[in-house]
Amino acid sequence: MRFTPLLLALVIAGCPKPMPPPVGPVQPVPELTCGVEEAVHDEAVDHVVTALLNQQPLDRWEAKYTHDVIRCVVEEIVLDAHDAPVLTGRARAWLEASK
Amino acid sequence: MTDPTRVRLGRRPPRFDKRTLRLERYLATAARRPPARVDWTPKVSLLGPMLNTSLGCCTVSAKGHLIQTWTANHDRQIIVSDSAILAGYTEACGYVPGDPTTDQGGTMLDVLNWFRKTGLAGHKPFAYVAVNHQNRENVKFAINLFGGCDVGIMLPVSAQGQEVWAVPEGGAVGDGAPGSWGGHDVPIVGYGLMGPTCITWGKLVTMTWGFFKTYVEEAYAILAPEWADVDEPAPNGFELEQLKADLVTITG
Repeated sequence: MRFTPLLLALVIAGCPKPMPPPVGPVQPVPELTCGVEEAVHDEAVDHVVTALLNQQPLDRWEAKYTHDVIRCVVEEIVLDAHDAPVLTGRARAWLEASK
Repeated sequence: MTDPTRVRLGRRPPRFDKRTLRLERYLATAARRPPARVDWTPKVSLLGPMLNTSLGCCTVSAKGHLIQTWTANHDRQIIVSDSAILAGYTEACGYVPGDPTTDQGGTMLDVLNWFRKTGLAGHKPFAYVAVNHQNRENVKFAINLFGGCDVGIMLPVSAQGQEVWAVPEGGAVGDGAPGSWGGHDVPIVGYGLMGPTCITWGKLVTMTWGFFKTYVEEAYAILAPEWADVDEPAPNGFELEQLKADLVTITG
């Protein structure tokens, strides 16, 4: 067997040491929807659905959740509430107007 | 929007039985996460109210809509007749046709037991299991694996004017208080990121996950031969035989 410089370096260095175990219990990473945690997302959906059904502007909720989150929620409504033509119609109109 | 004068509810307060099987026990066999979206409705057609616009028979109508959904997804849709729903409401809930004082609705657990033992229009499920409705993943599993999930909702008055059921801005108080309209039983037949979709009064109604979390009081997954049988592949690899064996052990 021929020792190349790289193999020789590895033999001299020895095996890499195992990583130390993490300290404390591993916390599950919360799954994000529209970039926010589930509870925040659910609350935003309720607010946006209610605002659209009542023909209220979404500015107030954009200030609370950010424009990107509200846009994402409105896109979900268009995809998921296909049995609600009034709501999805208003959601599509808002998406068009907010481009 | 729903005109409350033209529809009926009919779910009485829940009754719990500690012997009721729980879905969590079986989820270890389901190797993967539920999909982000499930929709068992595209093959369902000619939805009708199944008498729930004139009688408080939602607990029976919900089973009829599940039978319709299961069979439609095997390309052999069966629509349970109104006369069968009426007969079921009479047998399971004690309704006497022509006597409005007996139109008192039903308890989901009692109607589920009747459904399993007697059947609706010749359709008898193998078993049912309680679903932890506070665990969204479990609810999604139930809808995906069993082709639907039978849920009991404490409907608020605020839902009467909503095309999509959502928690009102003021929260679950006043017209938004759980049960301020009444108890209702609906089959959930799909879900997306914004919420699940149910069948009620002959139409599809979507609700937000926030609404589901706030107002749903009980949930059951029903394992029926119309959905999965030994002769047909069980959807998503669910262990049909194990569930049936456990049910025999518990109920004899």
